[in-house]
Amino acid sequence: MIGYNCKYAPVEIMAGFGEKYQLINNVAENFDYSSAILHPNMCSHAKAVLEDVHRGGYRKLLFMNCCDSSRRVFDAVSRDMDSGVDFSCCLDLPSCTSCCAVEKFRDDLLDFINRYEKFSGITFDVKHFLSSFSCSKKEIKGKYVALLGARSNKTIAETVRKCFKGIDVLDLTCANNRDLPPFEAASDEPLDSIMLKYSKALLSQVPCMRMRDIKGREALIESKNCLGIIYCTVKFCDYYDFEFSQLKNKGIPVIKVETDFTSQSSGQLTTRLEGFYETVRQKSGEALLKDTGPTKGKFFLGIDSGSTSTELVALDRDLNIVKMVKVPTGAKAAVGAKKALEQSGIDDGDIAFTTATGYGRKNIDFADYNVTEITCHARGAKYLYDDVTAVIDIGGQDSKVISLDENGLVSGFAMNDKCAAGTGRFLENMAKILELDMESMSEIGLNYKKDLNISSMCTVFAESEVVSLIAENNSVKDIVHGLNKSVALKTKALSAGVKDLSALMMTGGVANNKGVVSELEKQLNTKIFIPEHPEFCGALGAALIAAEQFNLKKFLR
Amino acid sequence: MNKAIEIFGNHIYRLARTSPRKALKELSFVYKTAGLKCRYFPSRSLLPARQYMQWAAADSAVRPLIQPDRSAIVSIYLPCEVLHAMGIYQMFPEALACYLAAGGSEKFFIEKAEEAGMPGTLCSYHKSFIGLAESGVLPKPRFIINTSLACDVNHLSFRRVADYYNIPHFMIDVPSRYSPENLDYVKDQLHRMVDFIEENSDFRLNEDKLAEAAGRSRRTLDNFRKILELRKDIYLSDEMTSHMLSVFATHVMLGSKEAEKYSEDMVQQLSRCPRGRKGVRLFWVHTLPYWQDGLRSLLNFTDRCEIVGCDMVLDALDADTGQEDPFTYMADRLLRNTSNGAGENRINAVLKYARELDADGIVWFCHWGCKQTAGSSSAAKKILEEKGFPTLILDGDGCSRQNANDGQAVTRMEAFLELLEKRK
Repeated sequence: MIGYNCKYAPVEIMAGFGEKYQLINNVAENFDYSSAILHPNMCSHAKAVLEDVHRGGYRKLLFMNCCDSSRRVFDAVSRDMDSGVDFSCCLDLPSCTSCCAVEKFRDDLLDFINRYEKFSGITFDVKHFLSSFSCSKKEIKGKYVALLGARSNKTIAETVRKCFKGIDVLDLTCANNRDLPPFEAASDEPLDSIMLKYSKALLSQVPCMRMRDIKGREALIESKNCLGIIYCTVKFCDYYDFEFSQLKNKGIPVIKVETDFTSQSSGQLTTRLEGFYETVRQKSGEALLKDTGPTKGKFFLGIDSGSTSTELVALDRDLNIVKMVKVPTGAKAAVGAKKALEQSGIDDGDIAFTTATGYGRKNIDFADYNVTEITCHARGAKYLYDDVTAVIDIGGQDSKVISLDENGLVSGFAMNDKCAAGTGRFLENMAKILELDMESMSEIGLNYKKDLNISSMCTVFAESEVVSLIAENNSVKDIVHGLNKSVALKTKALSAGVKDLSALMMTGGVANNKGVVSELEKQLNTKIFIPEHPEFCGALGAALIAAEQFNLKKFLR
Repeated sequence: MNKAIEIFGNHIYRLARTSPRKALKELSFVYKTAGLKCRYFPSRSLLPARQYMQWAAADSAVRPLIQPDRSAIVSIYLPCEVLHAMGIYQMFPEALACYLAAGGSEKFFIEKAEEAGMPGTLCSYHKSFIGLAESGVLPKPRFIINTSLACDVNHLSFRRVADYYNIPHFMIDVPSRYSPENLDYVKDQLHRMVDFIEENSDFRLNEDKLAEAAGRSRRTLDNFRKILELRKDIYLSDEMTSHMLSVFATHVMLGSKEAEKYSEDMVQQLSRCPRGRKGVRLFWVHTLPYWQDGLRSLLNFTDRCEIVGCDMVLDALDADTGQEDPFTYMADRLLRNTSNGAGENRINAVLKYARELDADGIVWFCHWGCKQTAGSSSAAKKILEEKGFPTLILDGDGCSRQNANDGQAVTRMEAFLELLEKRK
């Protein structure tokens, strides 16, 4: 099997030698081998490729010199004596389709054929080469969502397909966007003439971000049938953020998913994609009605099953809040939710409808309906603050910025990736290092003297930075202020795409942290509305959605 | 950070947001003044040639800021002999970012780029450059020309900034290997670069002036070969900044009168230095965080150690300076650059220069976001140590305080020095 790394790789030539080929794109179980070979700040996909090749799945490698990481991975696999690779070649990828570039690439292709003939003793068969072209592009006629950007992987593609059931998913990411229709050539045509055409065809594909002229990429999202874009980026691959930064203003729903090319924490990925699904459905005018359960009783319950705590809010038929309960989630979401229900003192028979939200929402068996916390926080925020235009929600393990339209519907959102920097967990860890409880942590940074910067992007690095600051005899007040500022800056970066921050509300546990709120106000240059119980906003939204679902069901009946 | 620099940095942080044009004026004034100070009130701790180069580099950085209509943005590896011959000034990300970092002023521009969606993992030189352009501080030049050599971000930031300013953009594609066919391919693009400049401006190429610039360029590289030879048994009290300035002299400024004079003066002044060595001799790979306090106090003007060479200064020394045709010479230099192609090319060059300079150890500096350098670091450490050169992989950032942990860097560097001292 020949492994290749890029859509510009001339794999049809390998077919001309009777060889089989496969794109190297598997997620890694771990980075045990690559972490000893590659620097930690290398693109995660590159590390996953190195792991895959090292495991011995490929006897031959055909690489394109398409990015710094590919080049360095090729260096590393060339040195790896245990991979079983007996032939490897890395071709230069020209960055344009000018005549000189096409001719230069043709020469490289001819040279490659020559090299492989010498290596294998097999003669290149033009007929096999020409017959290997197939129109692999899937014809999509209806609405679809597009996967765009750098590498996607199996986990992302499967999760997208699960969340967008019934809607076509078009994978247009980096290497998966290979589109090489058959071209006209006679098998007795001189080889250099065939290779000239082949070179041109390869280089004329929809350009990747490395190419000089990228106007052809606009066609990827121009279709009216494209409902939304799931934009994939890979940690330490910088190519596609350049495109993503310009997509946000195109008016099409878009969400960024950054992967480290391991099996993603699927819970978070599912939450984000389901949240995006809800946004796309709302934008395309379809109600969020799903199959619902029984319709009796006098209370609407909303349960927010978070990573640290579970909150329950009960509303009466007039949508007045009648109960608010908070319990630790514990090891199992269902147990935490049951405990919250018990503490509320509400009988099963009095419940008209229950909606669950939060990470554990799918494991709460007595809930009639579940919806992501993104939609719930927006709904709860609108109830508490009618003018709200945006919500910042910082919880235990994630932080989100949600934009609302004039009707209080989610018009877009951004969410942190796997990294915990800028979340409640980050502040808890830092409080432990500084030997503070969360209450003191909330206030102490307000009276800082020295404006310290904690600049590390990663929680682990920030921890060592804090230790250094302690060693340098900086006061706890100043360090906490530095930490608050780093959370605020991280959140500011998340809110970069929000158009209207004029009526901003903050929810989630971190909204109780006065230092962070004060820094956020400073960074965003706006006043932030904090509800009396910010941690209940998600559960409140869920309860409101429960009422809505109940009434819709009744209406339909 | 020095208090004055801190105050100036905070001032620029506020000013750039509200009055970008004023911020540009103040930055230009400070760079120019700093350069003039080196020329007319030189410090005794540095060779006069180094101080001349500080002025020359500051002057060449300020000129395009004052006269953007006769300037181009270029990438660091672009052979600029053509531009010198045509009288076109050059702005390039590394110089712009270095001067910002020296004045403690990079923060606003990096934040600006990140707010616009640039990834936090992107090279800080280019983030500073994008931030400078998109904040309105960097004035609009005539056009942008860059090569694809060595670095991914070449494909991205120049195109983005060209789109932002709506100015013409030209890119030279550099294949990863030297071959006669690739030489012709690059040479052809260099000729087309001249056509591009002439089509998009009133500048015209005078062949005689190009021949003069190419002559200066060849002589400068020959002088750097002599510097390499001389440096083998000379101790020089110096600072990290000197090596960064030499990087400018053997790249964008190569072919200018100033770079040639600098290299000539260095040869003369080094020839007069007494032979002998003091402390540990370090060979440095990649850019230098010359503004970082902890490392400055450890490495600048000390008998304990000295940086005897930097691979970025020397990466064009394999070029065939005997090539008469300027275009062939420039194309040859690009293809033979030691940072081009496989990581082994660079590692072997580092090994060669470390041997020639009789270095005791090698510091492989992984500038934040540079996959080229970081990607080769593990292999480099293995290969160089097998050949007898202890190697420190030092993570940091050449121009942003955001990605540099001074405490950690100092501990690692000091431990490395202790290790080398024990070996002597």
